[in-house]
Amino acid sequence: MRNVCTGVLVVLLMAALACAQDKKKEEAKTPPPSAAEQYAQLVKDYSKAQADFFVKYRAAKTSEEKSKLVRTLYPRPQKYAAKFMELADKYPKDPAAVKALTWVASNAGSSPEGHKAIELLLESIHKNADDPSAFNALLTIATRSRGPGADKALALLKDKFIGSEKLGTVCLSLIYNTSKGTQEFLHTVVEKSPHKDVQGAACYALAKVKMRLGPGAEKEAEQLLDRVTSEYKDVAVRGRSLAKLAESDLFEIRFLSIGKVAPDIDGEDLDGAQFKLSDYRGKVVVLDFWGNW
Amino acid sequence: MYPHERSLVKRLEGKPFALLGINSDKDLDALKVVMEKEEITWRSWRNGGSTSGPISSKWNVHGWPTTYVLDAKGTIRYKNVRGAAMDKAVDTLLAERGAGDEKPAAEK
Repeated sequence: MRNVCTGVLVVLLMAALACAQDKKKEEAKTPPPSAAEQYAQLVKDYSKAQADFFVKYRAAKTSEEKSKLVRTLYPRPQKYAAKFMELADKYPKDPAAVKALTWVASNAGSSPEGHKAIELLLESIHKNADDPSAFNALLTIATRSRGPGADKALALLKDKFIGSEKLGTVCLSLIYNTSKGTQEFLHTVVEKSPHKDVQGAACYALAKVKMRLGPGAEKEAEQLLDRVTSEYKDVAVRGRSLAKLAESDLFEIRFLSIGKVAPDIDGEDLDGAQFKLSDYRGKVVVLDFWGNW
Repeated sequence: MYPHERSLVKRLEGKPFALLGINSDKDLDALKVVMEKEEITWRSWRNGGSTSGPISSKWNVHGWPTTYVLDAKGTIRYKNVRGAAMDKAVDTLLAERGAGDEKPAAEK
C-alpha cells in the first residue's frame, strides 16, 4: 500500500513538473502584444503619468514648486501623441489604429499630430462609415476640435448619422463655435433629426450661436429661443429644462442688450448694507461680475 | 483684473464714475482678507455666495468675469470690455456726459 502511495505521488510530481515546463515553453513562444494590447498599454502609461503628476502636484506646498512640477513633470498629451501615431501607422488596418488616432484627436487636437490624426480619421471614415468606431471618432473630432476638420466631421455626422440620439450632446457642445459648418449642422439637425430631444438641443444651440454673432443676429436668436419655449418646452438637458435656459437668454436679449436701460439691482453689499444700482444714476458705471477664484 | 481695476478707480477719483461688483464668493471671511491685500475698495453686491446666485442668474451670467458698462442714464453701452478697451469705453461715456469738470451740475 505504501509503495502504491509513493508511486502515485511520483507520478503526480512528474506531471506537475511537465506542466510547468510546458508553461515555460509557452511563455517563451508568447507572440508580441497585439495592436489592441499596445494601445491599451499606451493609454495606461498616460493615465499613470497623469496620476503620478497629480499626486506630486497636490503635495507641493508653494506655487513655485507647483509651477516647476507643471513645467517638468506634467505629461503633455503632445508628447504621447507621437507614440499613438506610430501605433496607428504600424497597424493601419487594425481597429486599434482608429482608436489611437481618436486618442490623439481628442487629447492633442490642436497640435500638428492632432491635425494629422483628424485628417487620417476622416479619410478612413469616408471609406468605411459602418465601422462602429467611426461614429465615436466623428463625435470626438466634432466636439473637441475646431477648424476645417471639425466642420468636415459635422458634415459627415449630418449626412450619415442624422438618426442618432447622441447628436443632442454634440449640439450643446457647439454653442461657442460660430463657424458656418456648425450653423449648417445645427440647422439640419433641427429640421431632420427624428428625436424631439435632439431637435430641441439643436434649436437651443443654434440660438446661442446666433447670440454670439452679435446684434445683427439677435432677431434670429430670439425666434429660435421662442421656438424652444413653445415647441421644445418639455425637453430637459442634464436635469435642466431647455425652456428655462431659453427664458434666461430671452431676458438677456430683451433687457440686457446694448442700448437698453439696465434693470435695477437691489441687494446687500458685503457688509450687509442695502444699496441699489439706480442710486448711481448720473454716473458712468462699470458692473463687474467677479469672484476671487 | 485687480491691478487694472485699481488703477481705473484711482485715475477717475472725483469723477462721476463708479465701479460696482457683483461678488459670488462663498467664503466671505477669506474674501475680505484678499480684498484688504489687493486694496479692493469698490463696493460689491453679494450674489448669494454662489455663481448661481440671484443677480448673476437674472443677468444670465455664465462666465466670469463678465462686465457691463452703463452710461450716466443707466443705458447699457458696452459688454465684456476689459483692460484698455474698458478704459476707452469709460472715457468715451464720461466725455459724452460732458464731465471733464470735477463738479458736474447733476451731482448733488
